[in-house]
Amino acid sequence: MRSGALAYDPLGAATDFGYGPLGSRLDVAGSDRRGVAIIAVVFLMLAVTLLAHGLLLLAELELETSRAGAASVAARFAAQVSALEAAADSGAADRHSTPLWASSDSTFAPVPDSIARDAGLAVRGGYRWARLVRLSREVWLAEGHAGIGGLARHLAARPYWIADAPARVAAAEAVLVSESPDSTLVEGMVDAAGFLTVSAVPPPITCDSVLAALDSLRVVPMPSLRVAGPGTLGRALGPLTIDSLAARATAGVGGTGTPAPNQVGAACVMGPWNWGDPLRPLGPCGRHLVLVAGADGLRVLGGVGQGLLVLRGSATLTDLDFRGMVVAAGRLTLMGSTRIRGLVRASGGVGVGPDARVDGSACWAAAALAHPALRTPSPIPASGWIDGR
Amino acid sequence: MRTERSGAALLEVVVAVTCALLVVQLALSALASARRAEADLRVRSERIGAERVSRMTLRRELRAGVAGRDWVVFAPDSLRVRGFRGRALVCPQPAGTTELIVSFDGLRRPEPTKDSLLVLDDAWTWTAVGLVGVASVPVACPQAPTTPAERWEISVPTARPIVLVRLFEPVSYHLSTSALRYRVGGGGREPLTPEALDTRRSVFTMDSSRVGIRLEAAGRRPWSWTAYLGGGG
Repeated sequence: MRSGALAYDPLGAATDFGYGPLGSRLDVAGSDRRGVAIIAVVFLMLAVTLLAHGLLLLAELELETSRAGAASVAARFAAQVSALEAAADSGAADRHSTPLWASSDSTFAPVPDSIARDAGLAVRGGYRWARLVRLSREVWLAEGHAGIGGLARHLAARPYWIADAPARVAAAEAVLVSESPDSTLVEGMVDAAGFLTVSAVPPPITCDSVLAALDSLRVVPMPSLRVAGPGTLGRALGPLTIDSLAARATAGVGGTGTPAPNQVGAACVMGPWNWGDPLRPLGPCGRHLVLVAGADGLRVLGGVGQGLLVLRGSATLTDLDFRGMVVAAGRLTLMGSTRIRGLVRASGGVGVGPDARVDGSACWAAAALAHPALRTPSPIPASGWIDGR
Repeated sequence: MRTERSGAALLEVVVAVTCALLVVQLALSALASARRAEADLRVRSERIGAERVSRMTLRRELRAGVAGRDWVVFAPDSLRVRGFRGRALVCPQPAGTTELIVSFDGLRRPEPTKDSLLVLDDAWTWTAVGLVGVASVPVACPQAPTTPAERWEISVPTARPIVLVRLFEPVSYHLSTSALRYRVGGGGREPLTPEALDTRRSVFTMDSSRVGIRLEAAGRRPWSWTAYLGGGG
């Protein structure tokens, strides 16, 4: 009968598994194993789940750390860009009226999209500002600050040199400075007596302000000639080398030529050999002061000029009337009736012929050094980025 | 009939036990794989962390200085730097004084016992001097009376007026005992990274004036990472 029950009700046997006619033996043999397997599997799956959560947590922490790192880099770049922009904007004409320890007006701007994009950040609320602080007459500090969406902020600063005409004149060691004793021969006149006086035909700047500034800088009577030892003069102008100074020139000349004002009607026509017109300060080219670079071997025959003459090598000036400043990397030879009013500096020696002369003039030197091209800031050598909070 | 029933029961038990063992085996395999993955991920995370800390810390230190003057590499395993911790604007004053009125901004307060100064004069020359004292009593700079300032004393007077000051402490970095470590002054070497590096093979590299780092780690999956840190203009 029992077998008959299984035979005629197979579905019942399956659904009653463990409780049917075979139930008593199955219960005895399998009850422990079934429970252990389920519990073991549950515990194992729990452990796997915990480990998976650990992995996810680790990955999330890594992502957050990476994001903060990217934001930090982006903030640094944005701060540096701001500082560079502040420095690049410093060519304003009124910059020299900034008092010491005062800063230019701060400029505010959003973080550039390109910086955020390169850092892989979707920046919201990114900001940056910059300012230029005057530390001395010629040393400035460009500061840039940036913040990236509350994740990071950075302050980057860098010191710059900006030429200040009175300070440069005050830093001159003599009216004529030569670095090569063996190649220095002065037969003509080098005169420093009128260095701090206003000349009969003054340059197109206010001499009084220059002289007042020089007075505050306590300039002692300027010597007429100084011959320094080889390699002791240092850079050509402030931290600028002769090449970087020449790179700022607005014109370049070479070979042989005669500078002369070129005017058409009431207009001064610019050109490499038009070095302004110091003889007619009210004429069309009277206010034109040049920053001209001369190639090695330059020969000037006659003519007039005013401004800053940068000579990349040796040069011979014959019968030239020049007012301002002459800086030569090589030997400078003044021949004939050449007359220079201002300052002269020659690293390769100097020769002043019997009829040539150099008259020191602070006003003319300052006028040459006030050229707008010298207002471009130059990073101070051996100065890296100064990071801050 | 009883014989047939007994055979079916044994077969069912065998199938059930086999299935249970299979499930347990699969679960154990999954557990083992997960543990391996977790261990691998932890190792990778430690290596990435070592890479990140080395790169960010050392680049920041080197970027702030000038090769030769502010940092020197002692190949293959040491790097000595001036760790810059702040800067101060100096109130305009004549040369030849040892007292400076400054407006300081830095990562921490200056400590004369361990800090020194790199000062910039108005002829754009940097000079290192000692920091002798810091008076935290606020003073005023005549040029900027509203700016908070304080008085610092330096070890020697300078020939020209000082316009800018950078505060630094001597720090050295070492690849030793399985980690990148740093040492401030005469203190001990503290680990900056997890102790997961093979420091017998990890080195600082010098190429002209450029300095780099190569980190290596041994183990089941050997790893190597090379990067530029600073210098070279």
